[in-house]
Order: sequence, then structure tokens, then C-alpha cells
Amino acid sequence: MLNKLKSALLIALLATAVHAEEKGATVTGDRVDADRILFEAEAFRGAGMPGISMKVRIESFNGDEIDAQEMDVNASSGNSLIEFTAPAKLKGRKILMQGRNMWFISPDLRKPVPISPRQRLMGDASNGDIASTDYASDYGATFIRSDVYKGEKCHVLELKSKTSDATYDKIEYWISSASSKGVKADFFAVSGKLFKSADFEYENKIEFKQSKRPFISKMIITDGINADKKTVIHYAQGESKEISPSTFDLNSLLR
Amino acid sequence: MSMMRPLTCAALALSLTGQALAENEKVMAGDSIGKWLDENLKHRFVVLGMATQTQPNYDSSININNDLLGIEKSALEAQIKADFELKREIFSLTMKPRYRHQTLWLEEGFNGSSSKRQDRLFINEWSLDIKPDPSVVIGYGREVRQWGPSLFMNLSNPFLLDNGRNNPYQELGGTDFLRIAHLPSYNLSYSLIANVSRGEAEARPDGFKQTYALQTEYSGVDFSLGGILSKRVENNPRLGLYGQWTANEAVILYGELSTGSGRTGCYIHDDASSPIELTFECGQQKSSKLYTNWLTGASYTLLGGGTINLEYAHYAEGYSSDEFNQLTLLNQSLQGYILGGNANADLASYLVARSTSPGLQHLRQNYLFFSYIHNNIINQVDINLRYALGIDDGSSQIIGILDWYVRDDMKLFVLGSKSLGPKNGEFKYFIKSQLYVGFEAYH
Repeated sequence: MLNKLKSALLIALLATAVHAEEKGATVTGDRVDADRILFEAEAFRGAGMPGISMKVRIESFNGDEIDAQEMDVNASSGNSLIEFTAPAKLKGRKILMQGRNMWFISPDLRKPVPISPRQRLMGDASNGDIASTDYASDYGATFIRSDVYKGEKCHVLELKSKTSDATYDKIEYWISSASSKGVKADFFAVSGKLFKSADFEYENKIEFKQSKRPFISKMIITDGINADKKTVIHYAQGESKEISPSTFDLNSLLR
Repeated sequence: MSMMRPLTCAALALSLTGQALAENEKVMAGDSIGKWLDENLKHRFVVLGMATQTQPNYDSSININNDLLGIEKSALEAQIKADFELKREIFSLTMKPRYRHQTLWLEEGFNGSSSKRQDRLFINEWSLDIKPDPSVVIGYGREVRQWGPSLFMNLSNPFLLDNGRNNPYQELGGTDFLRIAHLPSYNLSYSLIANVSRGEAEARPDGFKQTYALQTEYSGVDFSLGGILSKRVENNPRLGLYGQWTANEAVILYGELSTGSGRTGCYIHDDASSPIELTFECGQQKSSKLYTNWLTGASYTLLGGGTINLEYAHYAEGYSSDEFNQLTLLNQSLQGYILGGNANADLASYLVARSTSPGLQHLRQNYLFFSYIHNNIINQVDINLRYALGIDDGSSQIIGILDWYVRDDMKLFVLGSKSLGPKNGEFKYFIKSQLYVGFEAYH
């Protein structure tokens, strides 16, 4: 079960995106553009906001089999909390992430269990965490080429992991030149093999700084090896707001 | 009359309109309450049914043929568990009522007359939290308060002896806490905690005593640390520390300790005034000697998805070999008193009760622990294997738990435990094996 849950981790990770810093601003040369382009794209996934709360539904397709999970997600300052609301067997389970520290909390266990970053990569839907990985913190961006994706002219950035702790060795990220939104990403393992691909949609609106801006509504992840394996993450009721530290207090979550 | 009719009609119309409006308001009020609850109330319902078979250790020299303790060999249990959480801005209220039915049989099988039937309806946990400020939480309630990274023992916890991991189908009882927490940032917290009454928790042999503690936790990028300084009434203060480090994507290293002068539990003493010249003294032994319990462990997540945990624990408050041998000899004597109808049988029964539940997390001092957890196998199955080895006496216990999610709202489970090693070893002291089979349905 836990692996399934981990799948969900994906989203939580918006947390990490939420407080991405504008690192590119102080750098010069091509790097400035790449980092700025990356940061602007991250903003549509929550970067720069004080915190985000939203509802998430993950649908995993494997051939004819469909598996769905629903959860409430709160994220702020590199912390995220996922609370499962459906299906019934997962209700009440929680995953807390503080930096690279993660805990799994189950109403049946009564004691939080520390889980490793690798555990969040298990299972199909876990790829969704890719969506919320804080690219700006963990990866250095380089502009590599221009491309056209689904009729949109895009900058393609290569994101290389800055540390050995990063989830993926390399990401290629297509960012629309017109809208500045990330529209596609390819994720590569250390071996250089394509691990996963993802498409992003932005049908949601979120209120931030007294204006409504587009916000991620869907992420469609396709397995790099088995194209029948697909995971769709739906984001809804996104709200930009301050989230108090006590939301991520492990001791308070055991109730 | 001509004027009266319109007035009557108007009055009737007004009355009907008023009733309709009132009804409408009620419906709207009902709708808004429903909507409010829908937005703010989370709930979870679980129905559990379980059959248990227990094989006592008939060879144990302290419970020969199970004559002394009369451990029930068969049990049927049903539980209805409801969890409610109402959360709104600055306050949250949780409530976990439980209904539990148990029927127990001394002999194997579920026929014949039962030895005991128990029905209980109770609130196992509840809490009310108020956040007067985003960085402050004041809470009171009945909780199972656990922390720390280890799976085998929760050594730094001054409030609870059992961490509940050996059998997730038997809930631990909540105990009553007042907690005031200050969280100056996302990665730092300070809590003042008072354990004010026993609640549903298991009684300790020296009775419930209030415990006060100051706990702090800090979370870094890839590590977390915690400390707790506690004082149980009439006992010396103890310091607990715990921490974990995510060494890489697959490995977590962790440790836990508690230290303080004097040890707490039931220990054998010579007692000339006792008819059997020995007694158990329960509580904290007044001593300046420092007793430090510690545990170190590591977890490794395999590429295939399973996670292995390995832990070593030194429990200084446990019995030495001499003390454990003395305990076994004493229990043998007491058994003779009780079964032989000796004049001191009542005293012997009292002492046996103390010796079978001496208020220690484990009886001995040195342990190795291994666990393998693999969840979501073929999207339906979770397995958990646990193995604990008592290094001091060579006894051990293996526990296997298999959960099979047959539907999104139901699972079947099997839990088996088997004790190995010498007949009077700790893990074989009373029970050789146990088997739990059951289901859980969720809503």
C-alpha cells in the first residue's frame, strides 16, 4: 500500500516548488535566461507563493486496469503534507515531507515510520512526484535548443542534478516561448535511459497577489519503457495561502 | 364577513408563507450545516472481525500445562472503529470511539462454553487543539503519543512502554495529555507535555504517576533530531534523544537513547518479612547509577520496493542473567504455592501478576531486530516480517503479517507469531505461537 501512497508524493512536492528562489537573477550569460525561464515556468506550479493547499486525484492506468487515489495536499517552504481521502482503504493515511525527510503515518500503526527517498519512486503513480520536484533548487538549467511541441514554439532546457541526492540525473524541460509554461518533460536515469515523460496542462486559475493566474490542472505521465502505463494527476481547488508550521508538526499528525 | 375572508386568507397566506420560509430556512440551514460538515469533518469507519488461536508454552517451568495462568487458546473478536476529525481555522477536534466484543475460550476451537465474554464501548482517543497563534498549539486529550524512528522499541518515550508494532490489530490505549507547543519555524518545535491521567493505557505495576516533559524537535534538509527531558512524579528525571539521517536515496540511519539515574520496573529483592523471603519492588529503584538504554539502526530500500530494517538495542533497565534466573526460580516457587493451595497462595498470586507484567519494555538487556516490509505487491498485498533475537538468552520471536486488499474497501489479514529458543527464554516465557486471521472493512 505504501508504495501506492508514495505515488502520491508526487504532488506534495509542489511544496518544494512553492518557495523556489529566484536564483537566476544574479547569474550572467545564457544561464540567466535559462534560470529565469525555469523560474517563470515554476510559477505556474506554485513557485513564489507562500503556500498552497489543493485537492489531488491520481489515476494510474496499466492496460485496462485503472487505479485512483484522492488526497488533500498542503505545501509550504519545502514542507508538504499529503492526507489520503480515497479510496476507503487509504483514508487517514498521511505522508509528511520536510526536505528529504519523509514519514509515513497510518491510523493503524500509531507510530510514524521514516521512509527513504527511494520509496517514493516505487510504483507507477509515484512518478508524479516529478511534477512537484523543486527543479530550481535541485537542478541547474541550461538552454539547449528551440523546438516545437504540439504546435507551440518552446525553449528546451536541460536540467542537471546539482547533487547526488536529486531524484533524476537529468531532465529535459520544454517551456512554451509564448506562455512561459512548462508543457513537457523527459526524465532520465543515471544510465541515460528515458525514465518517464510528462505533459502538463494549466486549466486552473489561482488567486495570487490580487490577480488570478493560470495554475497546473493536469500532469500526464507516461512510462519510458511501457507506454501502456500512464498516470494522470488532476489538481483542483488550488489556493495560495500561508500555511502554519503546526500543519507540518509530526506530533500533531499522530491524532 | 366580506372583510374577514380576505384577512383570513391573507393571514393564512402569510402563515403558509411564513411556514414555507421557515421550512426553507430549515432546509437551507440544514444544507449549510451539511456543507460545513462536508468541508470540515473528516471521518473513517472500520469494522474488524478476527479469530485468534494461541498455543501456550506448556513446557515453561513457570506455567506448566498452562495451569497457573490459564491463557485462553481461542478468541473471537469484533471491533467497530470510528475516527472523526473536525478542523476549522484555529481549532481542531478529534474523536475515536470504539466498540469491542471478545469471546475467549480456554480450550482450542470455538465450541463449548466460553471462559469470558467482554463488550466495551469507549473513547480510545480524543483531543481538542486550539491555535491562538500560527506558531502556538494548545491541546488536551487522550492520545497514543509515539515518535522516533525505531521499529523495535521506543526507548526515548517516557509515557508508553509498547510501540504497538508487533500487532497492528490490537490498538494501544490512549492516555491523557496536555500539550503546549511553540513552533517558531517550520523546522523547529518546543513542546511542554503533561501526562495527567492514565486514560485507556495499560496500567503499570507501580500505578499511574503524572509525567511532565519538555520536548524539542529539529528537522534539517536530510536529518531530524529530537530530545525530551522528562520527570515522572517520585522518579528521577530522564533524558531521551532520537535522530535519523537520510544518508542517500535508499539508506536511513537512526538512533535513540534514554538515560537517567535509577531504573524503573519490578525487581526482585530479599525480604525477610515475606513468608517466601523474596519480594518484587515495583517503581524506580533509588540509585545514583546511570542506566542508559540505547538503540541504533538502519533501513535500506531495495530497488524492488521492499525495505529492510536492522536494529540493535541495549536495554540497561532489563534483567541481568542472574536476575532473570532468580525470577524464573521465584516463579516456579510461586507456582507451587498457588497450585498447592499454600497459605501464602494469595501473596504468591500477587507476585506472579507482578512478574508477568513487570513494567519493562523487554525483560532482558541486549537484542537484535530485523524487519522486512514490502507494500503494494501486485497492487494488492502488503507483507511485514519481524524477527527479534534476545541475545542474552538466545530466545527469539518471528512475526509475519500479510494484508491482502481484496477490494478498495476491504482487506483480509493473517498474522502469525512463533517463539523459538530455550523453554524458559524471554520470548517463550508464556506463549509458543499465535495466529490471527481476520478482515477489515473500511468506509
